[in-house]
Amino acid sequence: MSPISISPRPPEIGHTAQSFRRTFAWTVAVLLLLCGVFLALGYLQGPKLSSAQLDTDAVVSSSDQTLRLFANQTIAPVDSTSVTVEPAAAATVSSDGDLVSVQFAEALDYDTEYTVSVEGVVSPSGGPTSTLSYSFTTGQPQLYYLDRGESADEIVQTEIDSQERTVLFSGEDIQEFVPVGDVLAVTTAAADRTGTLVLVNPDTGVSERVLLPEVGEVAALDATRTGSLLGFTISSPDPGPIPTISHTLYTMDVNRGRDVVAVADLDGDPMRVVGWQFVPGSTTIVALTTESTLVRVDMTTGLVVPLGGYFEFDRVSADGSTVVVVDPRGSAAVTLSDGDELRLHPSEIDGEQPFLGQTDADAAGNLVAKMVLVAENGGSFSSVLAFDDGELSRILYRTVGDKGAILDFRVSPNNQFVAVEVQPNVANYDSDEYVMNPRPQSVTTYFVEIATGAVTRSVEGFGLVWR
Amino acid sequence: MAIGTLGVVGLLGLRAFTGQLGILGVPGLGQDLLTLATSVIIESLPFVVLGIVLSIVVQAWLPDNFLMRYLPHRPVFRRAAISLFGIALPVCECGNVPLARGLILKGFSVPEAMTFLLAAPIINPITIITTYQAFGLDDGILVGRILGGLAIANIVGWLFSLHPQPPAMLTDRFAAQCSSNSSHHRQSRSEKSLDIFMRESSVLMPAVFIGSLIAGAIQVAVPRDVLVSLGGNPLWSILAMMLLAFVISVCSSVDAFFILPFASTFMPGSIVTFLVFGPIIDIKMLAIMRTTFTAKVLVQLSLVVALMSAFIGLVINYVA
Repeated sequence: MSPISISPRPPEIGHTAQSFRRTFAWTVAVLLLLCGVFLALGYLQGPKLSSAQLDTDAVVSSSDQTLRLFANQTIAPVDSTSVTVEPAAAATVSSDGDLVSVQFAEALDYDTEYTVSVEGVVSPSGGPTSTLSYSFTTGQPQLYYLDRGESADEIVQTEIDSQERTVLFSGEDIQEFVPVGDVLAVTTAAADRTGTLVLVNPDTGVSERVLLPEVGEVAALDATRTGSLLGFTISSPDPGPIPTISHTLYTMDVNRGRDVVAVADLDGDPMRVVGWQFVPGSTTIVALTTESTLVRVDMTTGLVVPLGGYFEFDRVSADGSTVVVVDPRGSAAVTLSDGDELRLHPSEIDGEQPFLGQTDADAAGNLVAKMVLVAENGGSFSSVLAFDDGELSRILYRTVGDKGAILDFRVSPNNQFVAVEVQPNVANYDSDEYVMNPRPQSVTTYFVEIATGAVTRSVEGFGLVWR
Repeated sequence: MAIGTLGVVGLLGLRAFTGQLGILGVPGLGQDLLTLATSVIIESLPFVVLGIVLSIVVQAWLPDNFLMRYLPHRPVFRRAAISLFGIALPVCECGNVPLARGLILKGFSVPEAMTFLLAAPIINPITIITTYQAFGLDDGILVGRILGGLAIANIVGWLFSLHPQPPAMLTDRFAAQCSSNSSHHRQSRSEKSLDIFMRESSVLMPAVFIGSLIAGAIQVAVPRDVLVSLGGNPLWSILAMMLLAFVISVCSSVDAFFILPFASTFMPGSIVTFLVFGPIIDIKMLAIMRTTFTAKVLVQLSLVVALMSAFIGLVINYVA
């Protein structure tokens, strides 16, 4: 090789071949030592939690939510016995590679810190075990209600543990409302009961009247909990061989234009209903037709599935598992997935057999229901809201001195609270005298924790919507 | 040059031939070998040409001492500055070899050129963007790759700056080329550019083709399942990733997407090891670097880079 000078600058001189070899050897030795130290530390540490994914808002409103725990390495399969949830919540567990999936069997409580621990986690190749632990705080629901005032009616937004009230919309003659997508759907009624449907954007204040396919009463508003599908009925005289009132069920996707579309029944004709509701957390409709057929309608495919014959429609349970309907034999909870029917018989309250009224029946068979207790002498009645676990009923709420009346109730999507509409004293006639859906001016909604029966707060108003 | 041209013509002929035969024309293993080798060649060839062009710019078109003028005088800072050159050069590792050769011919010391060569493929903008696209900021993989690449380049540069005879690190042929480089003063810039292109192509193209063929052959021979099965072990996952990087010889600008499917199986530190080791040491790169450095230097380089890559991976596994 030619004796060349590759660099024009003086090299870092003073180095000999021996010193280079020595430095090289030391470098290698130090690197080997450092690798050994961190290898040992890594082995002793075991698998670690790398990241976690959970929708803390969805987990309080839906029962199928999954917490995904990602370990920093592939781990041996994990079974349900190694997973604990604190506070206790039913969950199933599966694992694959570096992922542990914890699927909660039911919606979790609001604003609660949960800790999920997976113990005995080990690499497939063995080594030390470790515990993957993840804590999260669940979200709070957004609550909406209608407060009818002397000068104007207000649609108010609030939270479960806050006294703050935000007026989203103010107007006259509000009959019903429901939040859908980014807007509020609001119905009003004229003196002849002719209804209008208005979409209000609370952020911009812009309101827009919807062109309806019929002139008549607009009622039974409901909307999907997530998404943008709105539903309602329009009732107008139907001059046929036998004059009737139509009660036609319509839907509208507020994010996809303003087309109002009639829901088709089994024959493909516009469906006429005596009661209906969206199944919470889905775009499926459950309706009782004017021909007394309970049907389930998949709004994505239009498939109509009959579930049985009944006379009255009560409500779809807050967890979306059942619908309570009534026929001459009494109340029944019909499972929405397969149409199975469970006849409802309320359990005793303090040794007395109550009579069942409006009922929410969850997937586990628990009831939250309006019940009526009759005094032994038959001379007085008590209207109470009770929780029935199948063996015993306990009172969640009753009015002071049994002077008032429980008008309606709405169970929260996670079955933690129930909002109870109460008229404090039925002796005082104070109806707001709205032509449709009238309420006492003193109507108050109380929030009751189902587990304890404790009243956590109250608001002046009614028609509470959980979101 | 002739080998390179033959290689390209051969590829085109192969495409025409196998296209007529259909999938049954070549045995399965042969198809895999051809596919893998061809993919490495196609992936690296544009960057090799771009690297040669940049090398021509540095050697023939930049004024003498243009780069030297702005670099710090203290060797440590000087190498640190050189290790950041790659930020402005969207060229993967294969293209950096001709550029590094050009830097040596332009007067950079061998350790300085080596520092550039090791850092540039990792911190070049395409590599950073693709790594970010693949991993985001998860588990410190992107940060680990950038900082790890810079650390390796500077430490290796420092280590070889202690070499008593820098020219002895070069192959005889390249050293002779360095020696004769000063005799080309009378050439015009265009003539010089053409000369450099011919010379660099004739040296690098065969290395690209031969290295790609060897990489393809070893990928066919070593089942990937064997490597994947080692992913959950702190040590074996790192060794497996180094072996995988060495064998597949994928370009640094796309290696993040290649390794992304392995991220759920392998520990994050082993992914970083793959991403810092692969652009520096793999079959194809060794073949290309052999045009410039002696075998002894490449062995020493490989050893230090392997240990540093493993160390970085183990630290990230412990911390992340």
